[in-house]
Amino acid sequence: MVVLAASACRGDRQSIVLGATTSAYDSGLLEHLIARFNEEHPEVRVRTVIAGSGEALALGRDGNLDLLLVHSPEAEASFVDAGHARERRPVMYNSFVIAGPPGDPAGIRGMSPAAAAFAKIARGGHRFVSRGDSSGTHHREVALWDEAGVAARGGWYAESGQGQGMTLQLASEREAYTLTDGATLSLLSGTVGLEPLAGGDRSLRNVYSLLQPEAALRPATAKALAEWLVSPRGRRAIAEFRHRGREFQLFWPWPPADGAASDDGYGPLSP
Amino acid sequence: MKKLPRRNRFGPVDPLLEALRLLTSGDLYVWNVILRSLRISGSALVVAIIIGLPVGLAVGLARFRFRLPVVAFVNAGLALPPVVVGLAAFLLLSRAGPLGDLRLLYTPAAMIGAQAVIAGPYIAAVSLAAAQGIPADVALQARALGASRWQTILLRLREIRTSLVAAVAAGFGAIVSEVGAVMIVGGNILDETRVMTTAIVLETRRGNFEVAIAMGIVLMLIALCVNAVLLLFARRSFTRASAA
Repeated sequence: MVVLAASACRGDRQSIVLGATTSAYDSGLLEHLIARFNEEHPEVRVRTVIAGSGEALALGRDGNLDLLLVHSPEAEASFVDAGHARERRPVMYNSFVIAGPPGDPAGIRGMSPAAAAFAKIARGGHRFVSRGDSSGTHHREVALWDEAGVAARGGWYAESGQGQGMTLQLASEREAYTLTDGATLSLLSGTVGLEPLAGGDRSLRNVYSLLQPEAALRPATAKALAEWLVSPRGRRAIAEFRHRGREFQLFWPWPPADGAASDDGYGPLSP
Repeated sequence: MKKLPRRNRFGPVDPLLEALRLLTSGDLYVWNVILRSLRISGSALVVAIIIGLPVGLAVGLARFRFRLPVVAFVNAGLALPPVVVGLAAFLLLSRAGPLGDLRLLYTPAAMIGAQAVIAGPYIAAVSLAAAQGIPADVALQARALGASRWQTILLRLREIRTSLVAAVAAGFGAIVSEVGAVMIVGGNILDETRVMTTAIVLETRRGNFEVAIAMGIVLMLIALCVNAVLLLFARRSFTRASAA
């Protein structure tokens, strides 16, 4: 054990642990960004732990992660307020999407704002699958139920407690509605029987931010990665990312390049 | 209810063929994960044997006061839920935890430790039961024939070696297929702590069914081998017992 412990520590100086949400990792985005980052900083080894935003923030607070890539603005704000990080730096965005069965039994296709679509799903008692895991997506979903004035309880409402991919598979099997980030839905589009039905309005904007926990072990190396991600080269790497040979874009660097939507920029509705 | 067109969704045949192709073509990602799994669970097994075997044998062979509670304690270890072991290891090794300064969270060492705790009771409980089951006359005869104390113990070990092999196989089967503990303490980090079970969870979530299936096939083959070992030794000890 001692030998193993020593060998585990040896690589520490130039390696950092990045905590990232399932949507950023499962799409392959992070592998792409880290590969690009390593072209310029080959000495840094980025080790990625996948955790929903709530879990990532808790792990970061306790000093287990050096850098967080999360998308839960309110939780991030209270993380900063509590002194666990100095600031949150928005780095990229896309859009949440309400996905559902192609038949759309609740009739919400193209509806806006999202809370109205949520209210209609609840009124009709149509099945809805929630992440239920304190992730950024789950936080947003809870906020939308609030806005819709609906108590999300009852036989129509199920909590998966799992990551985005599993939740989409579950919703597909149950022919249920769910709230998802556009990227994960796109990359599973050939696998799950769900279609993007509503998205693109301001209340569905999904911004990913970087946070450097004060308790981090290797702040300097983590800062180098954070700086690179918000630099022009990092922004380009985010914009050029495509999932496994498909042609559509999943993430957009923050703020939007044209500046027009810099204040309320939201991701376009993913295909 | 509208059915999805079949060709548009996951049918099991294409990913299965793709999985076999991945395995036979020596795909680096897949095989690295498989070998890491075997390495980590193998190391954990060695640790579990080093600790579990002497404990089991000592408690099984010795006679002392409060022996019964100790036996109960060892056997209770068998019922430890792996995911709870993982949670406990996480809380210990987290930087906010008592052993946080070791910085072992998200390392193979942490996974080996957690898996050793899961496998240890298997080894200890089975060796304990086996040691208890050795007929006392074997030892008496040996002593009568002039064997030393250590020779007697070795002789008794020979008697129970089939049970021990079975315990080791069962322990290995339990930890190599365990997902909860390694996910929590290992973190499923690419090239470091990603093992077969956590990779299957990830690749299924990502929709990369062929990769998940490839590792699932290997995991099932390992389970089959473990069972074959168990059966083989169970039968051999049975025939020996009936011969005696």
